[in-house]
Amino acid sequence: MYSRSRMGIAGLAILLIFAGIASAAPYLTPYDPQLTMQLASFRAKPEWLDPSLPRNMYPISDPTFASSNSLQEWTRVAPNPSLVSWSGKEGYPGIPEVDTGSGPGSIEISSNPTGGNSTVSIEKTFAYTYDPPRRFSIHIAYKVIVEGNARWNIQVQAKRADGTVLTLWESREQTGSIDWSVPSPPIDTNDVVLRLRLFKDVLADASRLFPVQGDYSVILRVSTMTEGGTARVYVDDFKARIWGEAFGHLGTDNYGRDIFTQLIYGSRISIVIGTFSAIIAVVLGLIVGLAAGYIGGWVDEFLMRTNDILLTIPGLPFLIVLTAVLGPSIWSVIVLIGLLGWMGIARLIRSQVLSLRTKAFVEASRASGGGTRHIIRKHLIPNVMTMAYTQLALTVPGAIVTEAALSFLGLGDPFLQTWGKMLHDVQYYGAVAEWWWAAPPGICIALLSMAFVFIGYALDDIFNPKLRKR
Amino acid sequence: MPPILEVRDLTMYYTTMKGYIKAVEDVNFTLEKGEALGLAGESGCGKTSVALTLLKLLPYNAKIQSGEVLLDGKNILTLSDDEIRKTVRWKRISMVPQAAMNALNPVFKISEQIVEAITSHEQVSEREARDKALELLKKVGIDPSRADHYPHEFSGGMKQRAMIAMALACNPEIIIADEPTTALDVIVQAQVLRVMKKLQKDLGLSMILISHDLSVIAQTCDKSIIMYAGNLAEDASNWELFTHPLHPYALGLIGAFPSAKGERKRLESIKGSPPNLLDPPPGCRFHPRCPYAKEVCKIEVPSLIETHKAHHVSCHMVNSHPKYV
Amino acid sequence: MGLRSYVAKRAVFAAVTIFIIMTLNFVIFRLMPGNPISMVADVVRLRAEQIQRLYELFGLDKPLWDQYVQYVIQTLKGFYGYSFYTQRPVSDEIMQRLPNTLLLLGTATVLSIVIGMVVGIVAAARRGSVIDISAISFGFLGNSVPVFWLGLILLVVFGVKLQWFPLRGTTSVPTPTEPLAIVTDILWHMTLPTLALVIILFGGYALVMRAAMIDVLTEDYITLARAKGIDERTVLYKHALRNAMLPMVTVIALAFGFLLSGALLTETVFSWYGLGRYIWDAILKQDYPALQGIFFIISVMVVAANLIADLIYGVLDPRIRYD
Repeated sequence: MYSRSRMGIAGLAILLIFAGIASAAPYLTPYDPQLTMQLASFRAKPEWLDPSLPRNMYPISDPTFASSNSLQEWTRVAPNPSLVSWSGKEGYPGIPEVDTGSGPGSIEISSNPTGGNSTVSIEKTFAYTYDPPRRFSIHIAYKVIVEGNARWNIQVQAKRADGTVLTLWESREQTGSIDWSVPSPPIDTNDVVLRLRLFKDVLADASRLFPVQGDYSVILRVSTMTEGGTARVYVDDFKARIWGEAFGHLGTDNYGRDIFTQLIYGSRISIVIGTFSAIIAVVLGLIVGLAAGYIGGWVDEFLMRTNDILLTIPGLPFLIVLTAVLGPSIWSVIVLIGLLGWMGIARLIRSQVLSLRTKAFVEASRASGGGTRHIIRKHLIPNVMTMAYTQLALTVPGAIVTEAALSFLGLGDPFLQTWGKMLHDVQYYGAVAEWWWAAPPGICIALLSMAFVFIGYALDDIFNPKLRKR
Repeated sequence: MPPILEVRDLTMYYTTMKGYIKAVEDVNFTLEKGEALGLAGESGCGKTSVALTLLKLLPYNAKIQSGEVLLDGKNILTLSDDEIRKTVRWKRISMVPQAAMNALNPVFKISEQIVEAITSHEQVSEREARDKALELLKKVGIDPSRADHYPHEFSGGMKQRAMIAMALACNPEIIIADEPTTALDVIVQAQVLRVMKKLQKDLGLSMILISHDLSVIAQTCDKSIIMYAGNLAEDASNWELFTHPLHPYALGLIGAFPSAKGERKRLESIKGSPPNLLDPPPGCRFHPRCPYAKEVCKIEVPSLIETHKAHHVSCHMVNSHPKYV
Repeated sequence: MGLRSYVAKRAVFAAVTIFIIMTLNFVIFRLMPGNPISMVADVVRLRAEQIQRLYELFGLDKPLWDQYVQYVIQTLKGFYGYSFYTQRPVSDEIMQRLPNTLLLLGTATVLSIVIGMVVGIVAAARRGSVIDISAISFGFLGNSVPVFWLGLILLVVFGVKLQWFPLRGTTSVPTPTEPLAIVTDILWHMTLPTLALVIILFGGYALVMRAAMIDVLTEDYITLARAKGIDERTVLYKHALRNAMLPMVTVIALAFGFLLSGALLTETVFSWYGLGRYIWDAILKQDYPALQGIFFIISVMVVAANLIADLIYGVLDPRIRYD
């Protein structure tokens, strides 16, 4: 059949595409599949699914206030405009191991130099053009330097399109200085306490903040009251974020990781696991098959009995037990799959060796004085190698699917997002309805496996052109 | 009396990936009632293809290009598959195929296989069919107590004879025996041939015996046709053929055939080997090996002419001989 | 005589295999770092004497060989230890779920074998036809497409989007009471998982049947059967099939393990209350005795299936029977 060689070429093409994707992974996506989390809302949908779904939005363009121009996006409302200025000296240094600061540059809001009450606010307005979002969060770092008698209060507010203003957080009236600090709990609609306070409803979300399309604002409001003292409030790292419900080509998973990235990087792992396991299996099968076929006698008997017993033991349950006990790690998976996959190959190699042994040329070689190793090297091995290559190609799909099954059950390496692990996540988090998450990993597994099957069949045809009877 | 079987201008080929194999070309012969016809030639000369054509048992890549097969005057090649199956196969023409050991289904008992042959064509009870089967086995010299054995329990010769018994199951008019003795040793061969000859005489059967072994044909047949590379070379009664072969190929064959009595002659074999039927030589297909080949042999296919009564030859040398022109 | 010695040989082989599996089970779980008691003790904070009592209870203070013998005896008697999670005997938990797995497994096996055989036979008889090409394609797909993924997709399409079938469970909640309703309910829940299994598996059987039939159809006795005037259908289903069945039976036995693994994975997807789902839960809860028990039971099932297949083969092939 010509179709066999066409199959082989198709298989090779698919394999090359996957290999290309695997190598080019860092260029195809900027994220680390395992570590980069919270890229958008958890279980965000793919962007192409619905254009009206909210995308990640950062209303404040320069949250770090890196230069004096940063204040330009803000509208100031103050009794005296000079009360709001940019400071190049103060800047949020960050919290070790949690938060990196943004370096010097912050907003300085001072109290009224003449004393008394003073309320200053800066407002950033932006247009919101999507469907109501589910999550909105703000990060703010503040520092207050008080000299003398002064009280101060910082509020972070949101103004809705209809003009209503909601106070998302306030520091409450305080006296005294405070070094760089971040509100705790964080200002996040995911925070139950915030939802209760603002909306009296545990089940509310950011859609209450942004119910319609229109112009919204983030407001920072600082009130000071001094009696013979000054208060200077510094604000930095003022990030606002509307979390996207749509992200990327395939959305996000339960931790906000990009699914498309996982899919791309999964190709690397699958190719590696598939080929390494298959190589182990084939090498073992070769050794056992050659030994059994060539040495014969009780060695043959023993090896084949072992072979048959191992064949009877159900593979996947055995693997499950082994990996559950030995601990999930990619190398144990590779080795174990290889250790349980050599039996069929050994049988094939053995029959091949048996039939070759009696062939005339081996006899002739013996007769002309060739030693055992010579015979093995020159005659047996080349013949057997072609079968080995074919079996290698045909064993890879089984290895890939088996690894997928193990990962699906939760026995894979927990630090590797393989295609099987992705499917595990789908099952574990009950995300069955999210077909853009559930379908692609399986399709990739199937395609990559089929590529190897095609290649294997084509190799089989090349090395064993069967005499067609009709 | 018209011949019971007449094959006219039969041409047939196989389609393969490499091209057409012109397996049978312009073959003509007749078979009289009660006659034993030998079909001789080397392997691959088209003998089996002719036999399969008679039963329309050709594989799917075979095509009958032209010709007629007249059974009692009616062309069976025009019959539908169903008609052939019900009226011709086994009922009128049956077969003892090559390597009969492989023709017996290993998972069914011998008796079952013969009974099946009978009940497929006749309206009889299982009991009656079984009685008939046992009777047939007796006729070929097999103890009926072994009828319920499986094929692998029979020896080679026994299997062959069981096949013959099965071939007789529906009282056919013609039996085709394809290389009935090839896989057997000489002693068993003689036994099987004896059985066949006796049955043929007793039952008045017409038989076509295919073999590459001329000694077998000489023993059992009344007349023979010799095929070479899909063509008919010579067709004559055995006596005529073995005493006066005319076609150079026949001459070579019979010259290569040692005689038990008679003087010791040097055995001559025919030089060369049969042609590739994908691309046979033009003109007479034998010309590359023929010691008498002339120019015309390379160009024109010789026609079959009757040299004596019921003796046909297709050869330019013979055709142009003054005696036969 | 041939049949008897054949059966004896296969039975001995099966027994040896089961024994080896038991030993492997024992060895593997002793390989684990730590032991069951220390794991429990970590969580619960037991006093030293309580730990000692537990050691004695579980027999962990005895020498390894004694533990092994005790383990073998217990296993043969049907006792597989207590589940870490539920404290109930693992054998009870397994028996609760085993019938469901057998139901799913049995149905899927029968259906995929029957469909596979018919497709394979027709594919061999009509080379190059649509059936032939689909047989080959499904054969490839079966090796490449993960069955649990197919289950997920079926669930999405037929369960979530179209809502024709339920999303989880073996029966509805609450369970219907009258027998006919119960049966229909279970069948309704069983449809999608069985469908997933059959789609993946029948291709393999079809390919083997097809190959076996193609080989058989070139045999002389088939030509002879046709020469005898037997109709094509009888030639295929009587003369050819009986011979092609022999390699087929071997494959059915080998594929049983594969089928079983597939059933286990599919159960997980559909929350079918069987051994597969039990494995998923046991892994999550690190319930090692449960895993051990399940592995043993599953292995026994596979060995039994292989033995049955060997016996059937022995009966079918007269060359074995009458040798």
